[in-house]
Amino acid sequence: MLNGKIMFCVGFCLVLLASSCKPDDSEQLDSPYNLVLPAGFPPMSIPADNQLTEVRIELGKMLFFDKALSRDSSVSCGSCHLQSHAFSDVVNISSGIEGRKGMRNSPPLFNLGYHPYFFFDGGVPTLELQVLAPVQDVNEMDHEFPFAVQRLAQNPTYQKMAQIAYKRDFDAFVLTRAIGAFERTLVSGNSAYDKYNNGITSALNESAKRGLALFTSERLSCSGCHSGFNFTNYSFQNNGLYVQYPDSGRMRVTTLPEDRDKFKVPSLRNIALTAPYMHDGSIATLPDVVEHYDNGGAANPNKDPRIKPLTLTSQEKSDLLEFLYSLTDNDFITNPDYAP
Amino acid sequence: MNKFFNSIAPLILLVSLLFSVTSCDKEDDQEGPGDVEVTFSNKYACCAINHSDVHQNYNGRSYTIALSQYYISDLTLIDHDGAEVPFTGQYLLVKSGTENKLQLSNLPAGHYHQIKFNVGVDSVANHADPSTYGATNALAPQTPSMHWSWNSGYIFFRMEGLVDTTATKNGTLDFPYFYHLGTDAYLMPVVLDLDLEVGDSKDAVVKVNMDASTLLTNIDLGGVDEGGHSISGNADLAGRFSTNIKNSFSVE
Ligand code: HEC
Ligand code: HEC
Repeated sequence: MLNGKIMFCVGFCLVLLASSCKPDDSEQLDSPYNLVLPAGFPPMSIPADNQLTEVRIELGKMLFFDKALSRDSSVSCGSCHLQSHAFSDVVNISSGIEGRKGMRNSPPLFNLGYHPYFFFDGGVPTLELQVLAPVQDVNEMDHEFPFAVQRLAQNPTYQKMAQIAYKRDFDAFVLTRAIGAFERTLVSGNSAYDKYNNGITSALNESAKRGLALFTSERLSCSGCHSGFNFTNYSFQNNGLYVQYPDSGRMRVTTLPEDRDKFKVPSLRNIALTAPYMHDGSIATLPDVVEHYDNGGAANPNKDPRIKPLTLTSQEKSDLLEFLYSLTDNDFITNPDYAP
Repeated sequence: MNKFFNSIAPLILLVSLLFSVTSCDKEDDQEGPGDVEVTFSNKYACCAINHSDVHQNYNGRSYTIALSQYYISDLTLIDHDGAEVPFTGQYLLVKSGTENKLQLSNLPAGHYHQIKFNVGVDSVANHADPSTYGATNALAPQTPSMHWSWNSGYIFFRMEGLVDTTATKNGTLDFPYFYHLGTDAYLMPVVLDLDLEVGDSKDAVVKVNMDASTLLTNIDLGGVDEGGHSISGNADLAGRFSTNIKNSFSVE
């Protein structure tokens, strides 16, 4: 009888110990991350199943720079998205494994938590879903997703961090969530323009101020598409690169002829760092981009009417460029939190 | 002989009467709910699909079927009164050469005369995130992939192989074809007739076959427009292919 009671107590105590010990351990090691947003930025909506924590973000960063995601362990996310270039690439088309080439320019990665969808054709609705794409793309990492997950799950550090951050074994959920969490912390909003916008009038020189006025003028209408705090309204537009595009853009996703050759309007933040330009990297420099808009673009049937000859003077061109240069955020590209 | 028959005849009558009484009884009061198993098999005409077999399409073009797999969802049995019994929340990825089945327990006893299902997944599942499912779930990331990562959504039907695109159709398998069909617009409903008794004393199995030999009826495979990848963007081809898919199913 007595024995029975003691046995019961021992069993009970052990269970209590085990259950209280494990979560305690994890909670000690992880803590919520306070995402600090630049002045003037709206709140960022963060999915309920992927609230930001220190360990989630750290794990996401490690995965972002881990070449083991690719089939032959030769390419990481960071191979095509370079911090020094606001997480874009310096070539028109990046190389995937075995030097393979896709068809689009690697876009910069910042303020991603505000994007309503991803890719130039907007085919992917969330940052977590986006992770599936480069891993499986034959021209990027060319890895069957379950195989990539299996390989990464063998890494004891990842297993441990997965338990702490997501309270589960390392799996597809952890891989996509952690990278998404890291990406949401890539916030950029400390350019000279931002300082000016927040009341430091001396942050822009006179030329950049004239450029800003041109940018927002009805005559140039740049801010008709490149609008708001992130310099994009995320709509799909044709800005007249070609009469006939080899890449049909938004139409690939919707199959609608009215979406042919339209691409998601890119942000212009850090634009001086992200050459070459456009979805195919076909325009090498910013002055060339300004020339493109000044010429009014090619006669594509879906070209937006605001893309028309602007007859800019050379002074206006250099003012516009001066403004675009003021959108560079040097803190962003040197922030050690984002480095491997 | 005659005499014998005469004497035994009433007995036969009695026995058969007894039989009908007990079976009647059972059907009306005692037969409890039953279990049903629905299996899906991929065939080429009579037989299992052999990935290296070379077939001929309707106009003499040679091709192989290296892969043919698809999702089945919203499986429903319809009884003789038209009442529907759905296999709620069950998704099946049907592959060639493996056992593919869905099971439903506690189905009300009775006669079921139709089975219906969708090839593909409903729009809610279609826009969900595969990485939120456990690895053994049919909707989790698969090898080979059944999900488009650049246009988030499932590949409802994936068929691939090699085709002879030579002008003289000389039999050289010179070109890989990839028929990947998906997007909400191409959810493919199938309704088939059935003669199924369900009850606790019965072993109810429905065998559904997909005959791949009919998938390329009226599809040439040779033209520039017909060798395509993810063909949902090619409405004419996708329309023909999806009709063929719907017609390729039958109950054994
Ligand atoms: C081989 C180069 C390459 C690799 C490797 C790569 N990317 Fe990309 N990334 C691109 C290209 C090119 C695009 C644009 C594709 C498109 O729009 O169709 C892109 C787009 C993106 C976007 C969408 C940005 C936007 O504005 O819509 C995100 C987010 C992203 N990549 C994150 C990642 C992550 C995370 C990884 C690693 C899992 C990764 N990339 C690996 C080249 C690459
Ligand atoms: C009708 C909408 C629209 C207007 C107006 C517009 N743009 Fe754009 N802009 C776009 C689109 C869409 C792209 C991407 C096109 C592509 O990739 O094919 C783009 C690309 C750019 C790029 C390259 C971005 C990159 O990361 O590659 C720059 C720089 C740019 N625009 C500046 C301007 C300036 C300056 C103006 C005003 C003179 C302007 N835009 C007016 C829609 C517009």
